[in-house]
Amino acid sequence: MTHTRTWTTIFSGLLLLAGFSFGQQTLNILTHWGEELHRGPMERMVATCEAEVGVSANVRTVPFGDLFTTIVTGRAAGIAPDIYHLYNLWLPEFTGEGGMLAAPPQEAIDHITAHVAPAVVEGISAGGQVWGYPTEVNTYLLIYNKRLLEEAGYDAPPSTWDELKEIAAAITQVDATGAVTQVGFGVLPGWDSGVVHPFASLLFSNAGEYLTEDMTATAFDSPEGIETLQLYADLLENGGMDMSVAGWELPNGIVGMVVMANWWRATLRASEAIDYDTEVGVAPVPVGPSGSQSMTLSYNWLWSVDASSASQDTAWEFLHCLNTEAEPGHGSPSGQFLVEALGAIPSFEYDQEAHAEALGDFFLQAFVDSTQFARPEPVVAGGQEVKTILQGEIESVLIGATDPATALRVAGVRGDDVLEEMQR
Amino acid sequence: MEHRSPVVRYLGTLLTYAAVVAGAVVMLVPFLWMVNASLMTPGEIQARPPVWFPAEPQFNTYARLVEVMPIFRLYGNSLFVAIATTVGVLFTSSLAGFAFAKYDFPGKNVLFVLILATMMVPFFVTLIPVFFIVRQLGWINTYQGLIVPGIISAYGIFLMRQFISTLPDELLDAARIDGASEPRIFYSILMPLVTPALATLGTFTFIASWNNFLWPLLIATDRDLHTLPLGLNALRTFAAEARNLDLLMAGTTLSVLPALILFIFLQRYFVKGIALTGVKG
Amino acid sequence: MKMARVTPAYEGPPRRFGIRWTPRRQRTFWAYVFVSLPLLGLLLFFVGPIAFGLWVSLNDWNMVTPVTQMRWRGLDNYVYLLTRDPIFPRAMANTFAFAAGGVTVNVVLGLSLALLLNQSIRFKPLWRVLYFLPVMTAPLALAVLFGFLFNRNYGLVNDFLVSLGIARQPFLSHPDQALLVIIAIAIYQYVGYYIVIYLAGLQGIPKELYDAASVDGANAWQRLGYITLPLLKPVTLFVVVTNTIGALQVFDIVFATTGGGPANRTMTVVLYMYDTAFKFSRMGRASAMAFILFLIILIITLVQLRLLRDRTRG
Repeated sequence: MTHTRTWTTIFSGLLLLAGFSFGQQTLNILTHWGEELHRGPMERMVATCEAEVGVSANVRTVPFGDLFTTIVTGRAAGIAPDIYHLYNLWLPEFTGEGGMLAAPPQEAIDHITAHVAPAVVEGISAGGQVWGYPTEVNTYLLIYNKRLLEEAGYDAPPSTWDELKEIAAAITQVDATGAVTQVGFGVLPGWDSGVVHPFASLLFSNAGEYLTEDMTATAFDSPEGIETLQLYADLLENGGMDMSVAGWELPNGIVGMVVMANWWRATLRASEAIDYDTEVGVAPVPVGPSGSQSMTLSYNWLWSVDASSASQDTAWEFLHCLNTEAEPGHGSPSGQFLVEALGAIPSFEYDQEAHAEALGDFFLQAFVDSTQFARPEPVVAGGQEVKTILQGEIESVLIGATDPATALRVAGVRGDDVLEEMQR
Repeated sequence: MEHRSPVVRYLGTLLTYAAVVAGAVVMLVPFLWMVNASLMTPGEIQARPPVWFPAEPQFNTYARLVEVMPIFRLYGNSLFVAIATTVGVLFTSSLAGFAFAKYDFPGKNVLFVLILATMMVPFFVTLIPVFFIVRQLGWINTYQGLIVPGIISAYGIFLMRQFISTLPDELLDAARIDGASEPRIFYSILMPLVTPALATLGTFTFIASWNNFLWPLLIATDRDLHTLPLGLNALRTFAAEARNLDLLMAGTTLSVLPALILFIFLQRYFVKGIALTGVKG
Repeated sequence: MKMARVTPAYEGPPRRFGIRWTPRRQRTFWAYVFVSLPLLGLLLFFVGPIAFGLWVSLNDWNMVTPVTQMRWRGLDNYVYLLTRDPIFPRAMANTFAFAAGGVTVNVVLGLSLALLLNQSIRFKPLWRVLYFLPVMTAPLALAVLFGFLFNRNYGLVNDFLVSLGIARQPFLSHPDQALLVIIAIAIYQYVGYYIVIYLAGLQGIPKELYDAASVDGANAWQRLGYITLPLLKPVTLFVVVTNTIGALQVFDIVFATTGGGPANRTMTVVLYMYDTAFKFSRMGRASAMAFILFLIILIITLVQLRLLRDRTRG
């Protein structure tokens, strides 16, 4: 028994060694996917294409918060991966002067543009160039707790800002000691996307703009923008919102409504305080006084290849395998992973069709529908900095340190400076 | 000599004790509450009116914690990095301290002034360039990247030089007459004599490295290389999204407790070292 | 034992590599060997980086473009930070408020507690350990813990306030209270350090001085004012200087409690530098911040040394 095991160990060790020294090409992949829960499905997805392309893939996972730094710092000799999984806002940073990404082969670009929505193509482009295969699409909608709305006497979610304010105020509860036990509307301060993305979705739904059309200047310092920030100020004043209870607490059952993205689904489903099937509601972003229709912001992730990689061709071949259907109607390995493991919305139309049933879940269906009219987060050099500046100014209004008009004027001037400097 | 009435003296003592005990309670309560909250259910933690003690201690929170926080790996990494850094600092500091204290060589004074000058430079001034150098060396996400930039300490060299200067030269000369080589004098004569100074310097270096956050945050992006503060930071972000306050407090407890227990046993040593450098420095 | 060794006949210093290795030369050689490794490290990780950082601060650089292609900007980064950047002055103000508040309170608190503990009091080691516990704790862990304790709706501190009939406070989400909470965390963390140092200082004061003063009829307050405090000046000098320098570099606590928010109200220089460098990839501007703060630290240190030293002499 012991002997058999010893020999098996030695034998498999030798095999492993052989695999390393004489084996196939290895592709190094860097992503924020694959932590704990998703490791298994991630490995299965990768294995499909390892066999198909005849390479071995080495996946390294870092938390989302560290991914950007890891990429920037990872270009030192020997540790830059062949394949990156990128947030589209970072593209200008990586594709400008001394750019570190390789442009995809023309067949790949043709395939992508033929099979994804125009907004997605725009999202994964920078400087007029498509930079890789799009993966998940995220948009923002109003996520709400049906039970809290009903208890406050409302059986439908708000469709306008006036309704939003009214319902939010009705939900908020404060106990005898002054503790806020329940709040109508929540924001997500302290995190750039958590502050700016919901704001932009509301801004778009109020017929406002984030950047000018040519993306050379900010456009949120407008009457529509001021109205949007005023919405937050009003909510704070009428008690519909309280800074001590963040939107993060919606899965805890003590927040009525949040403007939030579809990737939150996993958290909502895991929550014990709110029942996903019966209590979670999802609705279009309420429309502002100057707006005529509900809009939302979308952002994308994509697979890209490092320009210094020695295995660029293999890398693109591998990505092609991940993102295309082996058999029509079955979807791609990537689509399979996105839908089944992450509950995310895949970018390719064949993936959306192949997983129509899973995506037909009330929650995801609403988000899939919204991708039709969603507007991509502007991808522009300095975009991250503009976002952080705007975050700071929005938070200033949230804590009552400044008024909406001043906040947006300050953010606009500083944001314009950054964009202008980046264009030089 | 005191001309105070017994009543006044008694009252004074009472007030002294009251102040000291009150202060100690303030110091202790956060830690006790941390452990207490880690044993509550999330509902109890957020209950209003507040619940002071768990109805039934939730020890399984710690079992759940191990699934989201690789606590043993974190201990291992922290321990390895702190020990390696400490050994490195002790070695380089005593080597250079020895040379500056007991040898004459051209350029000695200039070099020593240089060391004193770098002592004045705070870490953040060199943060970006050192990060760049470590990156160029390909040391991101490696143990050497975490350890090597920390093994030279201008303060350590200074401290060791000061201490070694107080040792009598005769000991070294006697060894030389016996034919001992200079490296041999260093490790078999000098090292035993400087143990007290090494203990002090080692204690400081170890604690600083154990608690260090910013440098590992930049270097160890790979979870496998995370040290305790990084693991706790990851747990903090995780708990922020899901509001797992019980897990967060359990994680904080586990990351803080071993060091505290160790300290309680070795406290004399630590306190003496700090008092020593503080008053002399 | 030593006598047993046979000393070889003296044949003059050995020659190797064309050098006569006199004992003196040998010693010089070894001295260089001993300092070479530490000095190499010092050059690679301190001296070189300082020079390189200074140069980077005069350029625009994102760390992705090669070093040779940095864009020269002269003093632009410094001018921008000092005249146009709206956050940097706030970060400076916050950092100084943090350092001044924390150090001042802790000098008073640490000295008072050390005076109490220096009397004939029972369980002295126990008290000392309790006060010293937070010094040993990672600032990051304390930040997480206090973020929890100071929560508006379920934090222990607010439960306590309510039980006293005081209204709940938002603390970390309040524009003005957030920095105070962060200062409070730093006071909590380091008071034990001050106590230990002051205790050591107190034990260094000769008993005879007090006895003599008592004979002269000085009361406890007079003894404190005329003996204890003046003799503790060097200790105070030490703790004030080292802790001010340390406090001006605060990062961990702020990073984990507020991240510099709300709305930059708790932004500190090192945190802003971290964001600028590693979030916005502006290495030049971040390096300029480092040198501005460094210069200020140098000036403050010199001023503190001068002030406290003069008073000690006077």
